[in-house]
Amino acid sequence: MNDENFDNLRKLLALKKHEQPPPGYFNRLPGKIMAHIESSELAAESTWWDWLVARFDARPILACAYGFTISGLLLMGFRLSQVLQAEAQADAGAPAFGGGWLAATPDPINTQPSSFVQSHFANPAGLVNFSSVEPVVELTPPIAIQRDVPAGQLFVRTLNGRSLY
Amino acid sequence: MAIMTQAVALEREADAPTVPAPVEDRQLVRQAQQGDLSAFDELIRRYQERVYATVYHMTSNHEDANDLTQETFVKAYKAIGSFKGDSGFFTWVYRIAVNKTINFLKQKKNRHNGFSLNDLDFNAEHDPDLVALVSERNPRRDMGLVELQEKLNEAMQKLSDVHRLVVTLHDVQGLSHEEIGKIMDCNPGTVRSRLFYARQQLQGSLADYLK
Repeated sequence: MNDENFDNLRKLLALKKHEQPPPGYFNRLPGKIMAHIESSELAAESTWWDWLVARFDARPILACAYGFTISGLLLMGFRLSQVLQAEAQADAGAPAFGGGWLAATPDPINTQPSSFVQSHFANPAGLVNFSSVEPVVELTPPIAIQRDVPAGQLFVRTLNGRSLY
Repeated sequence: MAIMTQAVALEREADAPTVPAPVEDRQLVRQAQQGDLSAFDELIRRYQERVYATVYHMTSNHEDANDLTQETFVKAYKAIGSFKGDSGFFTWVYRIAVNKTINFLKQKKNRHNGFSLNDLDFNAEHDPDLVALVSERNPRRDMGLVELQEKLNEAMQKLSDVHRLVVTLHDVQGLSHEEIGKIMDCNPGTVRSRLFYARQQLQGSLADYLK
């Protein structure tokens, strides 16, 4: 491993030290690197929407492709819905909701709720005689009744119209 | 007499213009870790030439060296938070550059980019050793430095990546065996044996130009 044996080789290898990049290259390089760092930091901070817009800015063909794909999917969806509706209408003598998988859906117009549901919604709390404008508790009885009530006694009208003293 | 000399030296020191001491790498690294981009910019300016040269001599291609040098410093900035300071910043950034370059060369093996050699600087024509090699020892006297440069790069590219790296770091860049060992994560003995083998290979490839 004697270095002296490689003297000429080392002299020749010195030629590589003289290979230099274009003039001014090292003045520009730090700026390029810093621009890379700043742009990568910005990219990390930006939202997915910014990222998408930036990608589309850089690649208009990609943007067009995305546009066509989405439009195609919308058209296909619209067409499919039309086909399904036509199939449903054409089903054996049934009206609009008469056949196919749509038949399973109850008709909201013709369907009647059960008697329990009807009575519940007609009088939800069982307050048939109750009026919301009539107070439940009165501290002083009306004058017409006051005659029969001993002085200082409380007069209370219950929810079903009876009077309590 | 000694006191007189000391006094004169102090006087000279006082007269000398005050040049700000260069900021240590460690301090710049600490500032960069806190997000100070100007500190990192200074670190780039300090080591860009050496990092570029290493990558360039490994790839023999200016464009590749340009890309890899940029990627090396971008990666160094992203990873600077994990730099503990066990080794110098220079060794650490070199290690990034070397790993990136070797990975790049592995991927590139199937694609052949060819050379994109930098021009030789003005001093090459006046280097006495090189002039002697071209005019006296070269069997083809008409061969110029540029052709010799191409032959040398061809011979370098015939070496394996690790052998080319050792030759680049030691014989071109002038790093010690110990420094190369730290960069390549091996002991100095391994560096010496790789260097010997690589030189033998180069001498065989360039035998016609080294008589």
